[in-house]
Amino acid sequence: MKRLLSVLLLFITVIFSGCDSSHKIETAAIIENVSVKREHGQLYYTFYKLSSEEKPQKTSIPASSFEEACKLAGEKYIPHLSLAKLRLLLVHRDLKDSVMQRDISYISTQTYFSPVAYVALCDSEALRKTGESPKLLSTVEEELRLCRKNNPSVRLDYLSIFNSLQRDNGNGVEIAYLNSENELKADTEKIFRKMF
Amino acid sequence: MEDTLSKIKLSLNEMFSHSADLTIKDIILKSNNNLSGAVITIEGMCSKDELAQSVLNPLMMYDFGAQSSDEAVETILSSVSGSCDMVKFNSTQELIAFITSGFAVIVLNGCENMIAAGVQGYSYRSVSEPESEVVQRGAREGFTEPLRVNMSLIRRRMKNPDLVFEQLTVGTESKTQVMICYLKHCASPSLIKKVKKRLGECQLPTVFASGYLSEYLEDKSTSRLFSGAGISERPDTVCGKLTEGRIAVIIDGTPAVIIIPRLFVEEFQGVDDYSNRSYYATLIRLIKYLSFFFAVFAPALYVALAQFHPEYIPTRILIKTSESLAETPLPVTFEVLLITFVYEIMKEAGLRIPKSLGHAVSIVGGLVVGESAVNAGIISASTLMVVATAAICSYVTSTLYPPVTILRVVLIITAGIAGLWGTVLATAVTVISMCSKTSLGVPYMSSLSPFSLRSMRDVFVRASWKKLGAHTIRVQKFSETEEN
Amino acid sequence: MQPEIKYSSKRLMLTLMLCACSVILLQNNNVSPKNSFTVNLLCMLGGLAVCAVMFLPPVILKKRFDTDFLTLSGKVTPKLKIPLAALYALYFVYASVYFILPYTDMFCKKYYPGASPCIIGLCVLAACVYAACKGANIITRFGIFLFVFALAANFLMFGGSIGSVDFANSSFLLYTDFESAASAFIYFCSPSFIAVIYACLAGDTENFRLSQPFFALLFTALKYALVLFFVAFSVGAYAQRQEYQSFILSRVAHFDSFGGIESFFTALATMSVFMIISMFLSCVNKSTGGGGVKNSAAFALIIFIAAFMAEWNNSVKEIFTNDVILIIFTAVVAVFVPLAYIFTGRKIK
Repeated sequence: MKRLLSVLLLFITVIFSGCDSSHKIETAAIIENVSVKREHGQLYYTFYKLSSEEKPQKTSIPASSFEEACKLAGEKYIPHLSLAKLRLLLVHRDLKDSVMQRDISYISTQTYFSPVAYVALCDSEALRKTGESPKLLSTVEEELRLCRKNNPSVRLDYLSIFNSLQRDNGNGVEIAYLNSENELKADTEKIFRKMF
Repeated sequence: MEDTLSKIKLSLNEMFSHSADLTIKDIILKSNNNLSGAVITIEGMCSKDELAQSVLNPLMMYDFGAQSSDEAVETILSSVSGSCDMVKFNSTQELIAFITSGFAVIVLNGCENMIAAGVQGYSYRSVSEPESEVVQRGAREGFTEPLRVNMSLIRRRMKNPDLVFEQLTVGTESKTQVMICYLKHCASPSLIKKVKKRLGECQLPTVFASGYLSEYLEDKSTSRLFSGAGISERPDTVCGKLTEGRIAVIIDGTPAVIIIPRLFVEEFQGVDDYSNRSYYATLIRLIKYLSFFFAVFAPALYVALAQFHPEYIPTRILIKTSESLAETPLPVTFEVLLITFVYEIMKEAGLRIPKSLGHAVSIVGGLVVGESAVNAGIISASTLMVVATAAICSYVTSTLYPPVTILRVVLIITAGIAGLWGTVLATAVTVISMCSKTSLGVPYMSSLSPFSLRSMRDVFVRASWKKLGAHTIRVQKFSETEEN
Repeated sequence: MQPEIKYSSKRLMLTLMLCACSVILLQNNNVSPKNSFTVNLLCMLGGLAVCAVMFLPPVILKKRFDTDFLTLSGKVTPKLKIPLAALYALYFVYASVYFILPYTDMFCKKYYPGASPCIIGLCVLAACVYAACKGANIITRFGIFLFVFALAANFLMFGGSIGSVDFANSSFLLYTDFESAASAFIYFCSPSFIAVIYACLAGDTENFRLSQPFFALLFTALKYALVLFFVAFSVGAYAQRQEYQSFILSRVAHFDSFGGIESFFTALATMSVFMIISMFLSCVNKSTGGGGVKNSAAFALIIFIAAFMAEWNNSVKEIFTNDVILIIFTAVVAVFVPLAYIFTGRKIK
């Protein structure tokens, strides 16, 4: 009887442990792709939800930074937001120095982002194309891998980009660039460290 | 001359309350001084033909001349007895024990001594292949209910004078015969002593199955989730275990023989492992370990991942699983528990139901509960698949089915409450509990923990017979409480 | 409670090695980024050398008297039994809180944001009470399974990080400042708590060889070196942006698209902390002469209250997570007190 009581007590304690199941599989809004672009002077972060549907489920959030976008998304736009499965951050090439480096710097302080997710620059047309069909995402990933294979100096994930920028010696860091004029084939683009 | 026969008849009739099956046949022997007596039997326990041929006919034909009843008893033992065994005794207790065991007892008037003639001839199930331990290659003989038949099955395989059978009686009402069997040069004397002591402590009124005694043979105050006493219905398995220093307890009336001490790694060793090629046996062994792991942890890991860590699930599977779970009304923990319990109910029904109705249960279980529930969106296909696979895996090591089922349910609940962390903590506690378990003082997890490199050739792998046969590892080697 | 039986010294040493190895799992900015990899390596070797020195008194006692400090002191100075038991019990309570605090902190910050550290700690302590009641012998048996799991988890963690190794992330050159080097050195002395456990339990073991503590420390050094290497060269500057660098290493580790190795890491950390505190409670049981649930539960409650207070009050937390206090305390109970008995023991002998 004593044993039973102590086990029951332990179970009750564990129930109140605060282990959060709000991200459970059936309710979680799992984001697999985020793109960043500027329209009419305003930054828009578009969150693409993981789904099997043909039409991508996306939510565009106007925000000044990725940090703010994540906060707004979680609070207002996307309940049960989960960014742990984020695979790709697509940034418009015009934002590579200002926005991208700041966002990568923010991501590097947060545990819940996978540090090995890809980051790529792209042009407006490429952003539009990838936003239209979620299936393009795997093609993009394949392209990025190929780009890395052909050119080992290209940085693909947060971790390598962040670390390379941290020790930038003036030569800059080469990262992948998806060019719509070249059928979304990945080129390389050089970025230089920008101090914040 | 004292009328001892009448006294015995009277006391027997009193003790058996004039029971209908107590048969007392009066006889008058051919002699000069009118020797009389009786043959006492229990109806249906002895062979009538054997009784007539080996006892009654020679007894009636023999001329005892002027012998007294005491001399006649000696003559019967030395000259009259036919092919059957004859034992002399003189107490009423022994008389009862003999007749209830199928012996015919000859009582001569005026003589204290009596003779038990071994003419047992009750009907019993013949030696056949045990259904619970079917093998592809190997003997098709399994134990049966009578104790003596089972003893002969062991003796036939171990033509060794070191093989000892020691008889005990347990059960205050049933007076069941129990035989402790061991190889003198292999078994540790302290283990034998422990077994005798524990069986002696058993105060059960009846002992009709091995399960009655196995709990008494297990060590006190250790985990009861896993059993420290093994059961086998195969004489070859029992003989193999005896050579490793184990002790077998054969109980009259049951084909299940208890083997102690029992180790965890033995649950994964099958008779076929030793008949197959070693590389194939190794593969099967690894599959068994994996199945055990899967049977215990798969539903809990599924619940933990679905409930707390969906990001660890590969993307394609995640999409399918999330969509199917989103359509079902129950939370995933309840869903998994529900299917687990429904499966257990169906299993119990399948076991108890007459064979002719078995198909109906399968159809109801498979189609109605399974497919229809998925189609109706009550349960998700992925959950059903995980639970069903775990259930199938639990049968790979069927002897571990009870602890696996309990562990599975506990882990599902902890995973549902606290995710992977809860599962890990519950697993740690379970492993501690398993490590603390001993069987007759031998750690249950021996070979693995305490670790023995030499034993590894028959744990995860099955080494070739040349290596296995080179050195037999005795079970007492693992005991930390006695000299190795 | 198991009867007093002798078990393999090798097994105890394996368990102690796992305890020592798990220290680095809870590492949180104890190793300053101002130190280069080589400096950290040297600090680590220095720290483990201190551990080796702390191992000497219990080893001498074991070799000379084939017993442990607690048993010997009970025989030689029965009048000092209560003060010594109190001292050791205090040490083990302190050391338990020292480990449980970073564990619950890491767990609630990195793995389950939002979980309650006190309740997580309480659950772990409840499991530890159960294990401690079974005795140190059983915990060392559990250690074998944990060793296998640790091998698998480390293989995943290091194997999955090889792909991210970039030698430009850090340097093999020697650069540091005194404060950072001293901090790293003191941190790497903290595994010497295993010497105290050994001082308490050595008497229950058999077949002791001098090579056993040597190999235990050698493997610990190897594990630390690997973690330092991968944190420096695989995670690089990214590690310094976040707390609990070893955890980040497990997050970074991946095999193609298969990630989530931090779950294995957390499982390993959970089981390691569970084992360490269970060992501590076993030692407390031995030092106080009790072995039942009540004794273990009482001390677990004290540990919980101390951890709760530390969560509540930051200055209390600083005391309980202070490496210097732990090292001084360890030196007292593992070196100074046993040394006194070694010298008096010579006369007794």
